[in-house]
Amino acid sequence: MEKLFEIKNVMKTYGEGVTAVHALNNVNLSFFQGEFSALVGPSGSGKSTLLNVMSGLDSPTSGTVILDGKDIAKLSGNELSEFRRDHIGFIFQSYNLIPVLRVDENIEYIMLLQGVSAQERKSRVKEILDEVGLTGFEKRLPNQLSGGQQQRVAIARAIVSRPRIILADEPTANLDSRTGTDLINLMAKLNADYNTTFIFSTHDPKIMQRARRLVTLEDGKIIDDKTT
Amino acid sequence: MILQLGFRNLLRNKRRTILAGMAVGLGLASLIIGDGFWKGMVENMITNITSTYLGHAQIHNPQFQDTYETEFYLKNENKILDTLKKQKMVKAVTARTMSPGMLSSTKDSLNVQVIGIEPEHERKISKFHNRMLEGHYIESDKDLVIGVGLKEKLEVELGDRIVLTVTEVGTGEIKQELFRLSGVYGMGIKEMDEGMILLHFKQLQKLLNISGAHELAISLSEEFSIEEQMATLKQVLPRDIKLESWKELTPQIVAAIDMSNYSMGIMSAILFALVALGVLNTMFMSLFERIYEFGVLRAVGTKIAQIILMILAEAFALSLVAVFFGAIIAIVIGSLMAHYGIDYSGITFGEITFTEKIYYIFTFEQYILYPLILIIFTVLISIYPAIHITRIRPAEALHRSL
Repeated sequence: MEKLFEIKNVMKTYGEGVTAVHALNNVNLSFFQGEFSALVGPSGSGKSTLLNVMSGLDSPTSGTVILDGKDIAKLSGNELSEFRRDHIGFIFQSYNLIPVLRVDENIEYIMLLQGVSAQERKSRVKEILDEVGLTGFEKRLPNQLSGGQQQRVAIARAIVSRPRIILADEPTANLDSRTGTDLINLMAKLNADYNTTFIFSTHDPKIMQRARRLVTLEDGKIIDDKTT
Repeated sequence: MILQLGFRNLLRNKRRTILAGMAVGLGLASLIIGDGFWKGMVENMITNITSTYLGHAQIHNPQFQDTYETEFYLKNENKILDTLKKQKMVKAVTARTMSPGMLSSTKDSLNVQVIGIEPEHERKISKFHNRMLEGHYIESDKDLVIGVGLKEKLEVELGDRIVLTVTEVGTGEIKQELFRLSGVYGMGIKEMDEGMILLHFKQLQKLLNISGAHELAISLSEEFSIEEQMATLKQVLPRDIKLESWKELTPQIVAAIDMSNYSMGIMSAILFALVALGVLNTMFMSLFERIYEFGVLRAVGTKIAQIILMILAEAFALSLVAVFFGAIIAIVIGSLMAHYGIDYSGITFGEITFTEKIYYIFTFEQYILYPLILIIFTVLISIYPAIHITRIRPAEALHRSL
């Protein structure tokens, strides 16, 4: 399998001296194309911080993150934006849709940044909404949708440009059990259909059951990494 | 869509947008109203100067202006008057004779400035005829009209005997003439009401024993600038006379207007500073409450420049709302001020005593230039919060909602 992420000796420290907190403490890890993996561990163990560092949303205090052969520390702000735009999709716990944009516009947004033509955008939005089961909801605003529907839109937004990696931070935490299961099934299907890499940060046992690899963090350190 | 996002963001909290728009708009309205009122005031001052007594321009013997000696009069005034009357831009012209004198009643004697006027022509230049409080305006060489202040000081009534004493030009002999008070004017200007008396032009000529005039006052067309008209007149008039515009005759008034223009500039700067604070406050409040969204936008690949553009679009939309409210407020208040005017009668500014109401003056620039400046200013000032927001690390911004 093709190596996507290579995380080498990554440290992320907040504060200094006696108040210093090591959110990530010498993390070494690799992820491969097509993985359906979960970062697990108690709150404050460093799961979200690791996702942020992997995507370049945050920079490590030391160590390197190699993404698709590139050291992301060496990319400029705009290069990082472009890299995320073209290769990484995000799914957040609180959905984080843009409230003033309609469903179709939220999904279309990334393609717009990529310079995709209007006709192509429309066709892909239609296709993706069908895929996530939200056909007919195009013109609604996020606040006119349920939590589950909003998370479906967030998934649609994350996958619409067919990124190679989806980073999902507690994607089912705000959903009821049934909706959560539906969405896990949807993401598993996308993983199977398009070989998209999914890396979750989660407490959800349902995701842990479905993940093919579980990386356990505690106090910023990897204490377990097992493939099922 | 980036621009659309900016515009739509403004509609999220309609109440705040309306209040912020009204606050900034009020600043704009204050600026427009202040400008319109100031223009009205300057217009009023100029009208006051030019149509109360001075005229738009005057002609003197060059030495008269320096010494005010009565011997320096215009000997060829009829020729000059003929030339002036042939000019299209000259609406009216009148000749005046002038002399210092002493006016005595049975109660008191006071120094006065005696002005000999041509009643028919003078009506077209000055406002004495409109400001008669008692008796009548100059009709013949037997009439003498004084100001209301002088009347009180001399304790005289209409018909009372008054003796005017002047010095004859050339001989220096004292000349006295007995008049009966025929009229009292009230110009509302202390210096005129207490120190100026009117006689018939020919009467003063006779007393001074001169055949010319000391002053020609000219009323000019308002279609052209005073500078243009002065340049034209100088070309057709003899060179041995001194032609001066009201601006040259009253440099202190021009200086007062210039200084007030400067004050208006300072006031505008203060208003814009207040507007800037209002815009900054609104933008920061609006941006900070949805900071996580900027994290999301950065996460999905929006470049810093695109986020700045989006915030500036929002500021632009806010400025449009402000211009809308500001223009409405300014039009309503300006229209009321233009219709009813503000009574400044009796108030003196820059040596001018206002005698008429001040009316608001609408100009093109108030509703185009000032709003345009406001829009540019609002957008420029919003660069600061925009840059501030983009400096926050995306992970930190996202953390607000995770």
